[in-house]
Amino acid sequence: MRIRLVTLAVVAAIVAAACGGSESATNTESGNAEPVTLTLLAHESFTPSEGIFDEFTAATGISVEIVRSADAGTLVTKAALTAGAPEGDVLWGVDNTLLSRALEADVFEPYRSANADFLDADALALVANDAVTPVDTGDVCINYDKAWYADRNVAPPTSLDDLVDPRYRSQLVVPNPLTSSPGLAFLLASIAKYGDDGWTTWWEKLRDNDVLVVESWSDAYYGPFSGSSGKGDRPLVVSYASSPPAEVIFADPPRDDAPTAVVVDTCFRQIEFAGVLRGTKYPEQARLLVDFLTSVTFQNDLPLTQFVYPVHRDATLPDVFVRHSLRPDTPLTLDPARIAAGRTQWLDTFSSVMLR
Amino acid sequence: MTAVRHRTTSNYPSGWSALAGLPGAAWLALFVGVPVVALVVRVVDTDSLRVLRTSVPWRIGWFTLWQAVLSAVTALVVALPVTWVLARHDFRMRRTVRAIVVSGFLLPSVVVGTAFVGLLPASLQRTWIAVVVAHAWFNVAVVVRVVGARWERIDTGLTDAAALLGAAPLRRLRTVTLPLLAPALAAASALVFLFCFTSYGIVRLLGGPGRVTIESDIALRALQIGDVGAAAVLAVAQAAFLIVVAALSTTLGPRIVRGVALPRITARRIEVGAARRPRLVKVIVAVTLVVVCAPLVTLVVGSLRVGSAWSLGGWRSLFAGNPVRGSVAPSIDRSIDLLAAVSSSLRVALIALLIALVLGACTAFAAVHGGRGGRIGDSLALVPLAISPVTVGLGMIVAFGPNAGNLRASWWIVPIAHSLVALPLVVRLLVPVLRAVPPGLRDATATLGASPWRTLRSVDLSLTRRALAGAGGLVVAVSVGEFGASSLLTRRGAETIPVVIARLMSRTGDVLRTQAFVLSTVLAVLCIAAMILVERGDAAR
Repeated sequence: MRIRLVTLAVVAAIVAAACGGSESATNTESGNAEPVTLTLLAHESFTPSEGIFDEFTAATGISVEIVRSADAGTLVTKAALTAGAPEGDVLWGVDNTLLSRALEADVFEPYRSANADFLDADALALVANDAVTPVDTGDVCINYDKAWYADRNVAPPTSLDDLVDPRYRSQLVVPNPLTSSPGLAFLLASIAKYGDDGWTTWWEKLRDNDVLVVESWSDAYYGPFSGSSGKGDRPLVVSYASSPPAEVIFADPPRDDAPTAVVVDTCFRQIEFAGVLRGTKYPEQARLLVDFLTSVTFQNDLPLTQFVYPVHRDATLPDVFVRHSLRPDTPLTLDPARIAAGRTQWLDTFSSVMLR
Repeated sequence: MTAVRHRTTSNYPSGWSALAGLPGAAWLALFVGVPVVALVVRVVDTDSLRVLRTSVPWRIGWFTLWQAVLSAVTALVVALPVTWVLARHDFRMRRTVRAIVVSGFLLPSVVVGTAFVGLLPASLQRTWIAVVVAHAWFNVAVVVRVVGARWERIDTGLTDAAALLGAAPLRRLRTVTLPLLAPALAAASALVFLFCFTSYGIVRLLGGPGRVTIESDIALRALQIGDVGAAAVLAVAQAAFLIVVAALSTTLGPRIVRGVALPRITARRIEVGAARRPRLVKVIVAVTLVVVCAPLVTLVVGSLRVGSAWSLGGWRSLFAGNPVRGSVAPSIDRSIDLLAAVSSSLRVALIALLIALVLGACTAFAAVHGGRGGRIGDSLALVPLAISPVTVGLGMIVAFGPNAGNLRASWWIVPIAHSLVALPLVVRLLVPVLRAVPPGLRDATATLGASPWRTLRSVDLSLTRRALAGAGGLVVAVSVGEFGASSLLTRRGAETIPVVIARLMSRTGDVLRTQAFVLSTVLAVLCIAAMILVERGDAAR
């Protein structure tokens, strides 16, 4: 009898747990009486100001929960694998290097943002049928440690060509493009610059010049790179055009000028998009959230929290951002269709050249 | 033997009993068979085969191979002294020392990886050396178990005789002990080789760019790069290679390494002259204990430190629910709710437990009482062992997409995958216990007029209760530590502990590092607790 009771209790516990499990799985369980909570999927660099969604919640009665994935690549792959039965309602952070993959997998439900007419027209033009909406832009560039070069009386590099020059031997650290989205952007920069025939030769030369490949952007920037808080000894790193202002804003003790600077001719333009995930239970509400993400309120918050440029024409840039950040006039770019066709093959070639 | 089998089945109609094997077989056909077929179909796709024309898979395959060989050799070399001590000497605390030494293998791979990140100097991290060292440590337990079991049965009279004839210790080792141990040495190396060949968790945490195994590359392609076709090609190629190796080692192995039959009884354990070397024994025991415990101590110490200062912050963040922002990179939010991971893992483990225990018990029952049909189910249940967890996960991704109810996007897919990984172990654990139930008891109940159901309940179920509890512990331990399939299938917001540990460890930042140590400690404790259940179930045999 006792055993039967125990069995009963165990079964009850399991059933309860299972219900709990399925509930958390379809985190958008409907219930008309309850206010809607939208799940916003994003990568880990999505860090808007605390309370930024309060205004949205006040206006619409919709709450927003942010669920962050590890990196942009995994975020998009998971979205592709769960297309139609999404893990959330809106996705933030698919960029032009990964967009093709999401579109092939039919991840998004097309929606034209109410703010579309005020957004960066070039970015908007990258997507057919309004499958996704551009939300911010940024540039991946070589950053250098200003003091390192000043101390040695050496001029910092000014181009991708310079990086393979023996003068800059053993100075560069790059994140692995297989596992890092800025790493991938830098690989694409080299392809945009040297073309299908030349980029592998350039990487071979870079390898012979003792470039260091590490797993992730943070591994590179806070590890071997000498210009940030890490104790590294390499003065060149793949990072963002907005990394220098970030260094100023987070400096402790405070400082007026950035310890790092950007090599402008190495920049590759990244454009990030957000979209309504196909299969969401709340398409109406999800569209409202996309409108909010492209509103001036939210766009104004971007520069100092995520170190990217807003796409809304009326958004304003803070002083410190204008002073220390750098906006290349003619960044390197690649057509999304070309990225879609070449990406996996380029990554395999990169592996065979660099990760021997 | 036949007589026994005949009597064993006397009480249960074998046809009906064989039917008990059906649910398990159906489950395996659906969740292993269908995905494997889907993978093979995917491979035939010529676009996927493109990957084999690049040098990448060959380079990765070569690394996978040599690190596995090197790991196996290292594990043997490190483990043999302590195996000798434990097999040939009687001393106080021998059982305790043995339990500690073999416990390493119970830990999940991500826990071991995390521990070695804490233990090894920065200059060794993300190198092949780190991978091989962790693999060797992990597999000392395998060598001690497999080789030790045979060594204990070698009659000390043989070496004593050689000693009397004037053979020096090294000569005795070379001419008497090693030849007798050869089959066990071969079996242990083969096992360690296979474990290291398909290593994933340790390689994810300790291998650097380009230092990846095939298993790890499959996951990388499927998860980060989104190149499922190439991942399928690699998964099928790896499975084919492993099947060939396993087949060779079972057919060719015994022919090359001839074993001498040893008596089943345990031989006298203490060698002549053993009394003269207590110091050597002590040194070996002490060194081994330090080597085995160091990573575990690192884990606990690491959970109590943030950067270079002592702090309870990591443990507080486990219960705070309100995550801590990464201390190094303010612009990156890597906050993770640790407690949610624990509860998510426990939920998954409960479901996996229910599935694997019910199906495993039915399959084991059919194997014992179901005649030939039941035994076929029994062998089928071993199939998941031959397929790596990452391949199981990838197969499910390929098979259960939008055309198949989009099951891959569901929360249930993770516990289902865990049930598959655990099922063969449950069956292996239960079959001998069920077989050992004295048939006389069943006959007695039958004579007293009990129905087969009644007999099942009052004899088989009640006699195997502890073994069932043990099997349950095993399922929980396997489930909470499972990383390969989980890393591919887990849903955002429902990540299990190992997935969260790997995520924390892949990022820079002192707080995150501490949190990874905290979660690893929690996971290690969960596994050890579950395995204590297993040991008690084992003792019930």
